[in-house]
Amino acid sequence: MNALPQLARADVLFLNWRDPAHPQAGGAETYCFEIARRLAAAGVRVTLFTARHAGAAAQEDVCGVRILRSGDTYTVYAAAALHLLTHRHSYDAVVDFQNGIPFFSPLFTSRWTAGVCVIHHIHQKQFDVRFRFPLNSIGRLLEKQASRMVYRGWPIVAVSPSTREGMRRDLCFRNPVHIVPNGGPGLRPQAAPRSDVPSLVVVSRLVPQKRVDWLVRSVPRIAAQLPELRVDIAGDGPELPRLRELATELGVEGRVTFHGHVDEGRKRELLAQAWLAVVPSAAEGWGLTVIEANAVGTPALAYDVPGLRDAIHNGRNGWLLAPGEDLVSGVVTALDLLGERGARGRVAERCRSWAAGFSWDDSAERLAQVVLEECHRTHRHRHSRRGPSDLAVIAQFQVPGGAVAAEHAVTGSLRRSDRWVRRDDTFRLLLRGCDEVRASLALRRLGVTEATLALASHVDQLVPPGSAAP
Amino acid sequence: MLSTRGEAPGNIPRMLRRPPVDLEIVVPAFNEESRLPGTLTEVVGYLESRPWSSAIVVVDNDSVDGTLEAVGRFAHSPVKTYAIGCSEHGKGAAVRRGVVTSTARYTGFIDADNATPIASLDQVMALLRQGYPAVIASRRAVGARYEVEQSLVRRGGGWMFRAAAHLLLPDIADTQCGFKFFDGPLVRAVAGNCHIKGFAFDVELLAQIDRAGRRIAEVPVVWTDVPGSTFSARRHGLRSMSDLVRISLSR
Repeated sequence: MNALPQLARADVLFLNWRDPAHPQAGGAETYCFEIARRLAAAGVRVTLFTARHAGAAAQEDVCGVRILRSGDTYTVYAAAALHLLTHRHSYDAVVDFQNGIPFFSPLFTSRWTAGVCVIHHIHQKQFDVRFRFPLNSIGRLLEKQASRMVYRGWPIVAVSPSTREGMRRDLCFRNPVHIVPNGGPGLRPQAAPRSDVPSLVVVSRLVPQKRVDWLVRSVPRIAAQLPELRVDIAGDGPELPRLRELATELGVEGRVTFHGHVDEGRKRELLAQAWLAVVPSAAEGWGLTVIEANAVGTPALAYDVPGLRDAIHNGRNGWLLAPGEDLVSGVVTALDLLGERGARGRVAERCRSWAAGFSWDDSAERLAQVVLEECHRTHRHRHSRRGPSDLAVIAQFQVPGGAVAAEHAVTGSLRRSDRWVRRDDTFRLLLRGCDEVRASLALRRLGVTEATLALASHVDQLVPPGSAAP
Repeated sequence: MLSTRGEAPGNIPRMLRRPPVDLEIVVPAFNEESRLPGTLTEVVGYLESRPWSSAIVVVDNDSVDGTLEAVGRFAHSPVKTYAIGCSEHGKGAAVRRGVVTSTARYTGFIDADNATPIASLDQVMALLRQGYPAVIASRRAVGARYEVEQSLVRRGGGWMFRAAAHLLLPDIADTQCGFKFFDGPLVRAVAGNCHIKGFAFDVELLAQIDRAGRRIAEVPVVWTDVPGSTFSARRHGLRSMSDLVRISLSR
């Protein structure tokens, strides 16, 4: 079950275009570093190779992770290739974080190096926004056709079911895909008392695709129905001046407070005192803000778009609006519901229990499982001929009396990426990449003939087998 | 591609079989989160008003979207709705999985897009009860008509496929309509010998039934071409044709 200790003393290289100290570091960098430092804490020798931003050291040791920096935003790829070519015998495994432009590490690693690629979200549509012809077409080609060829056979880690869907549909990848979700901030004591008046909070980088202006534009109409409304906007970005102007233009500068960049503690306070977190973003890899808000008992409202639809369960820990639906009526309906103190408490309870299912320790363990499984496969020089499947099965069975023996059998014969939990003599297994018939064959090998088998939903694939949906 | 071992009904463990009903409808689904809810609502509404006990089985053929979640919303519907998985890709594999795990008196399958009106089941059930072992909908039998036409390429490819299928099954006008119902025990026995995973699986199934000397009845239906089909002439056309050759060689 524990892959982290088994991976100890292995040399693992993380490739990411930015490190967490980079001025434009975002959620993807947090994901990379939170996992890297947990691997390092478990005894894995982790090296993180990134671009070198102004004022950064070429080599540094942070929390046990050796950080190597070389190249800028665009030349980091060549620098990484050179590093891989000159250190072919140095690493047991390479974890390649893809951020639109891939590192193409399979071209430079050796046969005996295990490789895993991590994808946060699909950029196919964003290339048109950022670049003009022909750069946008080249970007699309690199992310889709070229990656598909180069990364063939590599296991891919997706951060959410939405990302996996994008990989299958937009990128047409046929690789085995594992889901390793983002962790959460963990349960903390209430940082600040809940506000007495209806209040909204937005925590986001202020860039156009986050669509924070949609909310600012809706404020006058929401305030017409809820005159005491307050709105807090935390985060920095190129849109900030325009948003301030917009608020003044609409005459709501008294209600809307721009906090700029805030530290973790202040962010938690803002999230904790608000009634509702609003995430108007057009698409995300995963709704990290949703989980952060949920961790302090605040529900979130967002559009039904990739990433956010995995993090929010409509009517449970937040609300999802159909794309094109009016933000004003959505927010007003939600705030009306939350107006009653009892309802607010019940929602907060559900939010906390959902957020509790996400922890960086669990994410690190899951990534380690994938890396370890791939290491073993590489050493055996074996390729699976079975087509990868995105189905997963939840199996539940009881072993009255023989639970300890069954636990040994389960530990010994399941794959590392299968997860299980035992409560007394009831076992709950999540078997990945198979349907019920194949799952029953696996159970037969364990000596289990009676079990309830059901397909695993997206929720089951995200959170550990013991925890529940919100 | 041959199916893996263990696909015969005898090899399906008891825990994966569903309780017996009069009629079980298999709906193969691959990324159908948008079209499936409408189809299920209509089918549930229809089945509820009929005297037979019935169940719906959606076979998730390795979808990555919210197909399973869409079926989950029917968990408390008046007609029992199951969701099972099939990790082998192909409509044939999915339908077969639904059929061999069933214990119903009559079993059949429909398309997730509901191209054939579900009310055609009235006629189908009447014929099944008269003792016909297989009743299939036909878009070409006398009295049938297309409500919305298919595209030219698809019609051309369809013509070629039909010409070849006609050599195998001379008495059947339309082998490919996704609306076929069978006598349960018979189709379960036959499905164990079927191997085609792709879209040509209907031909194999019908050929096996025909070979066993059983009669196949055709019912004319009104049929609508619904956009969003997972059949791609480029990717599946050639495979379907070669599957036909395999079926005829396996005689």
